[in-house]
Amino acid sequence: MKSLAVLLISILLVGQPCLADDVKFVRQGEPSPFTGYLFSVEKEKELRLLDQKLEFANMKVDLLKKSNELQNEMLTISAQRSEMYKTNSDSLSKQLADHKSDNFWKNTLYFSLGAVLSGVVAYGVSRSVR
Amino acid sequence: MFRHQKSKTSDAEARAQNAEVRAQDEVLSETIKKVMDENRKVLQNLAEIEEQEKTLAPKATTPEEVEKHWNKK
Repeated sequence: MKSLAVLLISILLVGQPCLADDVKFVRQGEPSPFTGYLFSVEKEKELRLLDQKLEFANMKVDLLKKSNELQNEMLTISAQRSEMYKTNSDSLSKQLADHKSDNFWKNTLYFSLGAVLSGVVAYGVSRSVR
Repeated sequence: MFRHQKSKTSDAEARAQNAEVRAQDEVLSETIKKVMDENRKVLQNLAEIEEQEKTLAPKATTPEEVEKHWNKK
């Protein structure tokens, strides 16, 4: 019988840690072992379900925190990776610009040498023709 | 001649630099892969818990089991 089976739960707040063996099962008419709060079987079930939900919620919070930490770690590594590529790209661009500049002066030098050589040849030819 | 030598050196330097970047990138990408795997496991665990939560109901029925549930805290 429902009315016979009652439960004495001595807790100040649901979810708060309570002292060992604070919860005792007592039948109707039996003297209660200590002063406390009496809950019906249904109410106890309801509270126990809430307690279990709280446990699950805590587990979920822990997992989400862990997942957040891991995602932050991934972001940090990705930023590091991106920075590395940027530095490399900047360095290679500078090297390419230097290389292009070198080529310009090299071409100018060869062109000038060619012009001088042509002039010398033309001069030699004109002198030998005379 | 000197310029040609210089050009060769800078080319070799660029290649070495690229190789170094590629090696570092491999290490970083491996680390990201490990972190992603770990995160995937965490999210899988979370999904399992959410699934279990859907069928949540007080299991203990005997007074002893109920007492045990509350007194373990």
